[in-house]
Amino acid sequence: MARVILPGAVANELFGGREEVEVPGRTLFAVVHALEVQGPGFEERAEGGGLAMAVDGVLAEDWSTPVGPDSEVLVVSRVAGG
Amino acid sequence: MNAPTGKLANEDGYRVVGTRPVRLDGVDKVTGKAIYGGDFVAPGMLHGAILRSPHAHARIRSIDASAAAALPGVKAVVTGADMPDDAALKAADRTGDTMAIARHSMALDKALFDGHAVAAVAATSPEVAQAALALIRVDYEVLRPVLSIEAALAPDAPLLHPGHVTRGERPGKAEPSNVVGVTTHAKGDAAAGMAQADEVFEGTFSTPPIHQGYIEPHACVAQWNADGQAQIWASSQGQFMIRDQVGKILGVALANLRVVPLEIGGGFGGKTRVFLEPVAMLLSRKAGRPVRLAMTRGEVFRASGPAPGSRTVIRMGARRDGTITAVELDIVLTSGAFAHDESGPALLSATMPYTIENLAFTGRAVFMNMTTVHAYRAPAAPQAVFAVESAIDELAQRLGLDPLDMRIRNVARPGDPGFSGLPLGEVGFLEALEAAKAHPHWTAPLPKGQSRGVGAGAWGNYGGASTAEVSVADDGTVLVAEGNPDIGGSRAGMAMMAAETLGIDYEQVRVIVADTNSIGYSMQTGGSRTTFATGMAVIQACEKVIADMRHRAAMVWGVEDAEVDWRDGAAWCGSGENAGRSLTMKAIARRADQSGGPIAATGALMAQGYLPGVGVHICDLSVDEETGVTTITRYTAVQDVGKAIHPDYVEGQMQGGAVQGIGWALNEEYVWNAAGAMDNPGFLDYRMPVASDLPMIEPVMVEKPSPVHPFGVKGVGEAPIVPPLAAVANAVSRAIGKRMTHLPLSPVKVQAAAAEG
Repeated sequence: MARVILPGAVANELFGGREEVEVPGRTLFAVVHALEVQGPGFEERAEGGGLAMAVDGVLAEDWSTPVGPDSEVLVVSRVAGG
Repeated sequence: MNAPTGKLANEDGYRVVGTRPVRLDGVDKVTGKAIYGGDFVAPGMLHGAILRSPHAHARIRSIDASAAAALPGVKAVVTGADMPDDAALKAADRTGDTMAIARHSMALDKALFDGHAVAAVAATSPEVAQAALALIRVDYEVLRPVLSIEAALAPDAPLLHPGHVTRGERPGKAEPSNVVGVTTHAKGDAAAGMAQADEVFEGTFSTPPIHQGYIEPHACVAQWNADGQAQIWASSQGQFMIRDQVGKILGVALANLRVVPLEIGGGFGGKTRVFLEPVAMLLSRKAGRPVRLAMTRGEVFRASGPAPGSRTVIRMGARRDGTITAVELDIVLTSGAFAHDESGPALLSATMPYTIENLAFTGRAVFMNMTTVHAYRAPAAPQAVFAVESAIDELAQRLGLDPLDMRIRNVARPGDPGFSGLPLGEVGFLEALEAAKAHPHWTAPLPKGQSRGVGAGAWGNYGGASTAEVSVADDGTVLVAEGNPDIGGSRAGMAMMAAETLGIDYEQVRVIVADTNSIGYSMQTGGSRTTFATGMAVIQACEKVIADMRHRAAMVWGVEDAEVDWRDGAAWCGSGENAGRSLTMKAIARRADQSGGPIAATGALMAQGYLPGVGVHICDLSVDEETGVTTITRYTAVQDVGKAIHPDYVEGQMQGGAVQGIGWALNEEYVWNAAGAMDNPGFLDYRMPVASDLPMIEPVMVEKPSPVHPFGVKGVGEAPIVPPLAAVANAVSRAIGKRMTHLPLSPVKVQAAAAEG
């Protein structure tokens, strides 16, 4: 199970305030799917570009990025700019 | 500007990158031939006009447009009822962004700001369209407006959106309020860090909403045919942005909506969303003809997307040696009529150049009865950084430290944990601060009556999705198509990167900005991303073209591809009887049909690994204590720019950002009357700096290349607007001996503060 760390606002809105959750999944695709099950609305927010994810300290735009059973997935707000 | 004069590589080993060639778009612009949004004409085009609310907050009881519709020459009238309903807009995306953009473009049941569109007409002439507007009767119930952050947060404040619950809160926890959303960030233990400080500064800072001030007003022409296919011609920061937003609002399949980009006369973040296009589309569908809509300057001020105002409460503690032990920061930003919350980037940017162990940040945005705010260069970074850099300046004064030394003591270095906790890449924060300290300006004696301020500030920049196409013509010249509007010199930059990659001259490459049906997707021009991300796509496409041409040359010589080298714009044979021979691009292109067909390739990627940019600005000024007038006498802008592809453009970005930030500090603000009508919707009363107001802004490029980009590019467009607010305010504060915390530092405000002593 990968450990996922969520931003406070996302945790509050979608995960009942839990800022850390554990989900199964061997890629970010699977992790996002599992997060959607626990926090409905997460997938759309991630797909819409509002969130970015890092696996074990490395930002990963590509959701086929492998995720290990001991991986840490950090979810961060994405900021584009003007 | 001078074209490159020879083929010799410069000190970085480049022949084209780092030179200053003439811009490709220059002649058309200086001779008036460039076609901007307001210039485009379609056959049979009608002229649209928009009726806007004179009230900042009012319920729309009814709209009677029958007399307008009956006026000869009027071909269509639309109101909010013609927009898709709430259910359709919510279905388009659950975030509510599409709903907000649609309802900002045309009010439904409430006018939420002075200038909110309530109806629109399309007619055979602008005069008829204006006459028709005068015939539309709107029955308003005027409501109490919310015109400040304090008013928005007051317990008895009228609610702009009574059903809105603050984002970022647990469902059911928050009551409906004017708070759009809340963002928090914590690191370490701020209370414990504050207890370790030898000196603590506490202050409240504010900045008013201000406008980007782009010269070209918003304008578009839309044509929505009966068969469902549509075209929009418009200037913007992203033709794909227009396509996506209009497609979502009106339910148009993206392949049916072709958006043609026109020349853009400035955007600075303010043209990264639509205002007119959905309305023009509705008018066109009703009229069966193309329709132009264009804003006047007054409409731009009243109804486009200015930068949010802010109120920041900050506490910062530091040890005697200048080490910052803790920062507590609470920022509230104005969102305007609809949701646009920039508190996330505000918190992200607040202390970006520094490594500070203990942070406690909170950010909120609030609805109020003004036009919905939007991005302005580095969105919400200047507002937050104004407070942070003022606090550092105050603490440096109290502790008797050089303000640059104090910043260097706390500077974040590569590998340090960034805002999210991830390690920072090859940032140049330290290099920029050291370059500022080493600059003669920093140590130059101050003329009598002048003071000096310094401010730093960073912006994270961005990468994202980009597509580029490269093709080789029969004569060996090269065509590049990009999907990003050229807002800051991207055509020249793309041509230079293509020329450098292919090993040919800049003059052999021409670049166009392609429409949405002619090239794959590119995210809009924003986030200082285009030279970085689209540049990578251009380089990728060029590398494919080179591989193709090496293959064709190998076929000619009967050798393996690996035996063919590419240099100086030609294929070189490395083995066999033709060893040492070359084939130029022109020679290869001439036989394209005989070697497999056209030579063309696409680069398409998600650019990752973008790095922040940082600016350090030094400002000298004098204050006339009798009149309160501030005069900037010398200004130096230092910035880590990565590798500058075209230094003129990079320096121009630095100078432009500095000037806009100086205007933010000294002059600019939205002024409303008590009823919420904007009192200064024009450049006579909304005072932006002009050339005669300022000395030459001296740009100092610090080039610490990005290891991710093939030529070392980092974004440069946004960072330079972050430091000036504090650099100027710190200088004024030192001049009059009083900490200035509320912008703009207008003569009245400065004179009053100086008089207080």
